[in-house]
Amino acid sequence: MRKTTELAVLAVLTFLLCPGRILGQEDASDHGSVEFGVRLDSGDVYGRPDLPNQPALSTSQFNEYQDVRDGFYVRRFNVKFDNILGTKDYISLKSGNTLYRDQSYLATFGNYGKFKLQFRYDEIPHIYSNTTSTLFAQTSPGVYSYPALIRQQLQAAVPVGTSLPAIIETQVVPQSGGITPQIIRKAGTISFGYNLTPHWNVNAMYFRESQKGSRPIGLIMNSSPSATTSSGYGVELPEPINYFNNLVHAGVEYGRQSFVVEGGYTGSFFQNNIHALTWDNPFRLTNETITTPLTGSMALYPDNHANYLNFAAGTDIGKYLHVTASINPGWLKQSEAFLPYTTNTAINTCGTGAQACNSVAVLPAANLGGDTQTLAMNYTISTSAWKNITLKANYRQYDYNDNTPVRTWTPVQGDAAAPAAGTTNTPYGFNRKDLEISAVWFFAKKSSVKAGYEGLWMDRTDRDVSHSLENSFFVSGDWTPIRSVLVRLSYRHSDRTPDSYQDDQASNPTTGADVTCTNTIDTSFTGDQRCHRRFDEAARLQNRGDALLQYTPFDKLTLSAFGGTLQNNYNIAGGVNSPTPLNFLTGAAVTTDLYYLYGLQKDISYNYGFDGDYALSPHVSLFAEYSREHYYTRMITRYRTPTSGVQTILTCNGCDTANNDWESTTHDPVDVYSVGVDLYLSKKAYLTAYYTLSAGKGNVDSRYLGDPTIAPVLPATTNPNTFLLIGTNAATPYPETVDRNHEVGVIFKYKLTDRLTPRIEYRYQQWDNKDYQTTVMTPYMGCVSPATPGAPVLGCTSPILNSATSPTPLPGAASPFYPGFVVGDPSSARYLFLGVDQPSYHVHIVTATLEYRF
Amino acid sequence: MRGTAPPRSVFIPLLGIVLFFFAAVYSFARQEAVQEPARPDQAKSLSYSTAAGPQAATAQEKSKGPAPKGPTGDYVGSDTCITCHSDQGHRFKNTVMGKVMLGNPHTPEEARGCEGCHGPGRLHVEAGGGKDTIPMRFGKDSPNSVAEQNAVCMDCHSRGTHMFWKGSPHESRGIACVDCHQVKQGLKVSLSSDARYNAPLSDNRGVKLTQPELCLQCHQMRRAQLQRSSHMPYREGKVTCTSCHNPHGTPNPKQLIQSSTNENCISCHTERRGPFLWEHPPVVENCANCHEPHGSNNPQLLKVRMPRVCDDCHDSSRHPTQAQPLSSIKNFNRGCTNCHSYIHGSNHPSGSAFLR
Repeated sequence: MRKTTELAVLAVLTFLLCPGRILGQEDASDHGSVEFGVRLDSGDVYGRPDLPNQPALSTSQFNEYQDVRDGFYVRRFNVKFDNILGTKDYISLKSGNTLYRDQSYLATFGNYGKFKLQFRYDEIPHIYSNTTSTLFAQTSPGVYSYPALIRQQLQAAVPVGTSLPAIIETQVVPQSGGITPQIIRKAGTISFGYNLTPHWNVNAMYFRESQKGSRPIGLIMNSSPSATTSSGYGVELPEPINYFNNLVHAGVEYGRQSFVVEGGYTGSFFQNNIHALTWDNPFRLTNETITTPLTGSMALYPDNHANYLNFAAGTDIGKYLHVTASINPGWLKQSEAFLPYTTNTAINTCGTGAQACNSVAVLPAANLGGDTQTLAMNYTISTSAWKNITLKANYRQYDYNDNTPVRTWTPVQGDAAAPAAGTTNTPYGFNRKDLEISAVWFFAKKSSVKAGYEGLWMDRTDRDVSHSLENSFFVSGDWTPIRSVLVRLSYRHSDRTPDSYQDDQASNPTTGADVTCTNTIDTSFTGDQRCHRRFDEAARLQNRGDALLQYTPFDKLTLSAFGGTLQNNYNIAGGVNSPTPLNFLTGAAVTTDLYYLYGLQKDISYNYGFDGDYALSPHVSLFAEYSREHYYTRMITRYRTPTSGVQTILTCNGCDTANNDWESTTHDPVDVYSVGVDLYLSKKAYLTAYYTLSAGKGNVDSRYLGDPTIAPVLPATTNPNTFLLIGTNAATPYPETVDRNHEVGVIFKYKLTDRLTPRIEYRYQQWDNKDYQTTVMTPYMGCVSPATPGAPVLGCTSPILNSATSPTPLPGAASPFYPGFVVGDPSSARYLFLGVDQPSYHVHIVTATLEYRF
Repeated sequence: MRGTAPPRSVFIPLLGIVLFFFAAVYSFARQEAVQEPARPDQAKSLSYSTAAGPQAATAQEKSKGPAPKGPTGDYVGSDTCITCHSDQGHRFKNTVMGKVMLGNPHTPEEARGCEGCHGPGRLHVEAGGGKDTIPMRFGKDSPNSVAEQNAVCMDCHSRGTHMFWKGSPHESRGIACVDCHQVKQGLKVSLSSDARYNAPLSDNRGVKLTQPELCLQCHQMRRAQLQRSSHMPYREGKVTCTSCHNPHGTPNPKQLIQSSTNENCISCHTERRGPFLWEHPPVVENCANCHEPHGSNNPQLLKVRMPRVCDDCHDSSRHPTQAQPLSSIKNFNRGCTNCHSYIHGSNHPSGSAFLR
């Protein structure tokens, strides 16, 4: 079939290559080109010697978004004919990666300046992992079944843990079949634009996309996040993806010399052909109870649609004034039928408190009736009434109003709990207003200074901050002191101030009264820490600076250097935060910078680099690039455990004390290096060679901030400042993640004739990946050791931590495959994973093609 | 206390609409009053100086009177230009603009050909050539200001995706159209650029470099970000800068094509549009609260990997407040979303904690 398709493509290409004169072209200049040939790749995936099967290169990270494989391929095709049959019409066709899963096509028929009809087709694969396996089988769309015999065995396993891991390791894992979670998007677009007159234009577009495949999703069957040998279950499944996405647009535009107005409609329709995901509990076959469900059910993304109108216009007013405006209202709807609260037949206390939870009749509504309205408006006025000075004022507003009805629900968490008390859904809304005033002074050719102010008013419903104002001042300069030098600088300072900050959950559980950050009288245990701030609403100081220097001493040499930083500081004393430091330790004993809130303290990035291009001669040019980017965040939070009975935070042991604060910082740097050379020899031969290295790594470091000597051994006498960050609660650093991509490329082209150019390309790619979250993944991460000494469970060792009392516990014996990594958690003793990972790879790719121009 | 937003004022938007309406009517009426009946040979040409040497003519100084018919007066016709500039003429003829202006003009401006952009050529011809006699030149050595050069382009390209150029960030930083675009010849890509950069198929050949290399010349910070392991398919040529941004200016933040960051992301990820029964507020407001669209070292394009990205906001009690050891189910694999899988919003009646 594939060979027939290839031959058919060749035949079509042959036909299209011929008819330059047949279609009545005026001259025989180039109409296009086709580049085709063969490609070979050889390499392997490494870094996971523990896996039972060697992952394939074709489904590795190498082919995450592409489809590179051995065989014939048409790298590029491009044909264009003007003046078809003596008319002024033209037609063109382009393709890339023809016949492969990442193929693209673009066909255009038009008349320059009059109309254009265009067809586009694109395929985008996306591979998530090639190390996954499962015993689940999809018996019908969205329904995953598990072999009954194994369910029976797992249910019968003695829960203390002597036989459960053994059954999994001997029955489940070896019998699991390999799968490759991946999706493919196929999108087609047809667009048309027509100039009715030089002033009138009408345009329309239709886009349709399908997404099919699967994607890993984690599912817990418990009301709390654990799946131990005695409580809860969990599975990771390939979520079935079967989407259609349709978009239609129609518009009209009228424009004259200094006036243009346009209007249009855009409709977007999302359709999910699989509405629910239902699966068997692999650890239970019989005897369903409230906490032991036999099945689970999840609502997949519902169908939705959105309709937008857009109106926009621009006009000159007099000689020096220009005004633009745009108004875009939108209507978003969603009314997919609800699933029942649960599939667990043993839970019968929903609705009024005595109704079966697995029936849709008990729901307060059959569907959401989701109704959101948006409104985006923008008005800009600019004037150049003064020589070399431009003033601009811009007002922008965005409204998001969720008018979805509010109802009371009795959700069943994880299909395994009696429903909680009535819970109401909350439709969130916000309104953003932005006013910018700026002035630009063009003081010399290619040189200007710009300064301005921007105010951003944000109003929210049902969040911690109902109103905030952010004032920003910015200045930028572009300077060309001499023709060969360009300097660009910019700086922006922003100050965001919420009117007030009050988390609904930071309230007295008995009276319901708000407990503010500065309240030292109320000693109740609030649902959220009273000084906690969510960074997207919190007070913030932001500074941003960028600089660029370009130097072109002569046409053959260009050098540039750049640098920049974006610094967000949330750690502001007073205002909506605490006016006094929250540190437990003070004075000389303090272990970290003073902090005035919990949550994100700092979010900083900086970048710098340079690049150079040098044409040594008309035949040789060199380039070199380097850039570095570094992200850093700092967060402080507090370990809190609810009080029991009538205790307060002063009469419990460390349930809410600053002595249990901990800090975590993240560092994510990446360095990118590129060097290369382009050679043009005797106008026939072209050679390029380059090397690129992208070296990234990540660190997450955590540590306690308090005094570990305060009642370190549990149970302690009542001490509200008892230190609890020990054992599995300890704050410890994680191993460094490594992410390094090398690429070497050598490409040679030789112009045999005016029409024939063979090309040979060699590339070597190597991607090294080590990630403490995924490199350790196997289908079973339970790490439940036999009660009596025995062989450790494959892939993990025990004990996890060698001291239950230490604030800095050393990891247990490392996995034999990942020194320094400790895998496994008894809280996942009854959780079956897919084993998602993307291991390292290296690959050699040789491509030989022939380009034929016609 | 969770606030209710104050009633939104409709005054400002209504005022804006009313003012704009009057401005538009005034402008339209004024244009109709001064415009003489159009003739096919009439051009709304710029007022180029006819004195020796080009003056800093401003774009607002439009010609008030009718232009001469045919190659008379200050205009000499493209054929005259090509007599000396045959190489450039041949290359220009094969570009889209050349095919329109030299082969298939629809307006008097287009019919001017070379002089539609460079201005009347009579002085240049009488002087026997010379750069100084060309009224409008483009590029680094041009004596014309960036605003003047851009105004020439805007004479024809002021509609559609260019409607919001005036007042746009690039315009206010003195970016000239010719800094990114080229007119006189088709796109030529070096072998190394062709090997290293990919972009979706396009029929736009009027740029100096393909994306993203064109944009990376100034936005060099993005060069490192595009190389990060967790990325949208930029390197594979399926997504590019103009998939989300319009460099000619838009009324939206960051020159996004859509009205907000979320509408932009949801244009491809439409399954996350909602509305949902159970919403996650930072998701509703801004996808960029958690994700970095240009690339990240962390899975799923997260700015900070789980569980820390969740810890930044969640400080209630028990497991959201624990640091989580390396070996914890709340840390390895998908972190918090091992359980809270539908974190962008859930439409399940039991999805209040996004477990369903």
